[in-house]
Amino acid sequence: MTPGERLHDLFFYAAEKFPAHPALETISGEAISYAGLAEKVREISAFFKRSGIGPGTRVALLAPKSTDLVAVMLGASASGATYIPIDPAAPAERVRFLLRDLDPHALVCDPALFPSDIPCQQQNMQAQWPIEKLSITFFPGENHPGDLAYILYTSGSTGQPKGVCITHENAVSFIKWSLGIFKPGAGTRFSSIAPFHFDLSVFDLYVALASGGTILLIDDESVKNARMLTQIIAEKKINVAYATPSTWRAISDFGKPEKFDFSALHHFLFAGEVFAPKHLLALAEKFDRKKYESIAEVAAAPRWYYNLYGPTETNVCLYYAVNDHAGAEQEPAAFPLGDACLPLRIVLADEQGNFLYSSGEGEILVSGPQVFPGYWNRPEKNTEVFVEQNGLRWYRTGDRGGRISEDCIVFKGRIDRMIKKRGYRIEPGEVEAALMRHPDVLECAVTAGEDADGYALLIVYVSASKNVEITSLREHCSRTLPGYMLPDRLVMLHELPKTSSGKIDYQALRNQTNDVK
Amino acid sequence: MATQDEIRANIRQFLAENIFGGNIPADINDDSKLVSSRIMDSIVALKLVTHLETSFGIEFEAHEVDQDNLDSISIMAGFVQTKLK
Repeated sequence: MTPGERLHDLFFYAAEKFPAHPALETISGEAISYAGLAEKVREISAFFKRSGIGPGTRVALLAPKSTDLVAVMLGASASGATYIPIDPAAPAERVRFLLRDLDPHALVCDPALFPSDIPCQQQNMQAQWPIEKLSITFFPGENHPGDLAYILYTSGSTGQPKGVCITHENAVSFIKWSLGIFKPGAGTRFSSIAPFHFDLSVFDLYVALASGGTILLIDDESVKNARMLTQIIAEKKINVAYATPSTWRAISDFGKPEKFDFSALHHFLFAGEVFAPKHLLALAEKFDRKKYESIAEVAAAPRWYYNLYGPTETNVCLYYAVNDHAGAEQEPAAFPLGDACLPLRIVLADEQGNFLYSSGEGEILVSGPQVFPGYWNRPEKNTEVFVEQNGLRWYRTGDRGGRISEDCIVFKGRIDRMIKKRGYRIEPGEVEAALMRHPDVLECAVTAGEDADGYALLIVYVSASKNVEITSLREHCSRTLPGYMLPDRLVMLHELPKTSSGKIDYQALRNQTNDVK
Repeated sequence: MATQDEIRANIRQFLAENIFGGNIPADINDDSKLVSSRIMDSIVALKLVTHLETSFGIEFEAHEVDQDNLDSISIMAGFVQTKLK
């Protein structure tokens, strides 16, 4: 890595080499070339600099995916600012919390989503602001020195979301690793399935924009409609598609992939949660490449399946690959997390924090240039998640792993109560805090379950002063929580089971969960 | 051909089993908004579409798997009936 190299530099290098290549496309057929995007990025960056947006400042983004929004992200980065994509579907109360927590200098916003009643210093610079469809508002944010490229918010165990700060060095290290592994060419077609506030999008955008590839921006509504998404990936001839296992399962179960020609799709990537091999095999069968074996190119190049493991705090830190020449009999019993992404170092540590060098199970710890510097504004949380050992700083993932060989780690669960649903992290404490604000809820506990087909569910155990309906609880929670955090099942209990020390007995609740299906 | 009442009963039973763990709550009626009020998420909606396709021998086009056709029991039943005609 060239010292001091920054995320937007990777794009500008590619734009010099491939000015006429399409950089971004939308499903409605809009497209912008590398040269066109670079010009827009320079214009936005110049505007930011004139407006006092530069190193140490933060630009919050609140808008659906668009080519303009990508230009604003790159423009903010080129001006030296940190950008923060906020979920445009988040409830207003959550957006207000994030803006308070973030203390941004500017908000670039779809005007329809502008949060009401937030104090701001709106300056009349709309005439010079080069993006017609997005508004810009300025705030008196406090400057923080540092070299943060972006901040992504994730669920927080203490009841509020927390911002994961990512430096240019972190992000560039990850992109360089990805370029080395996937070797995309200047004509490679990537999909952008994950929303920009989710870290899978960092791969989609920057691996493509660093290599001269083209990214198809797929809007959230089309992603949720698996039938539409399946058709788009096939018809738009996507080569590299990256999505959560839940999204791939929805494509397999509901998208009717057998009806389409997927001969262009050669890299099939997933991350965010465990993908059971049986579901992956079911999908691979529906994408059956034997159909296309007459196409010599396809027969020569196998399709690759990659499990990319890593929390937002490190982006991908372990990876495992199989290809469709391997055959079903070689499929592992459980899809492994695999080996470390060089130059990252991975160790397992026991409950006392001792490193386990050869065998055994323990918490997965990560050290190296991709490891984030800390959470935004959460010094107490930083103390909890970092340990110093052997002269290195290690991030504690909270995930448990086991080593099945020198270069292969498998997933063994969580050391805490964190839940994964649709690839998103959910801290039960955040959902419980929202439930406790309901006037009739006396106590509650959130646990993970599955429906009959194995899709993740949030099961909520509640004791209340009077009978409450799941619809009323969901409505209450939907004022502060995003859709994936809303309870799916409600179990009313007179009182929650307790352990001998008086704490909620999650094991007893889990036993009940088995009966909920 | 299935009547409106039969289609609605079929949808109610699916929702009872797949969202409400057995029984539809008292505050949900045939006009309650399910998608826009975030009671039914995208996976349940897709399951329901597949269920309606097999129950009634119809097919949803990709663009028809949409809030406009799925937001309440009565909207869904109306949509299924237009497909049956």
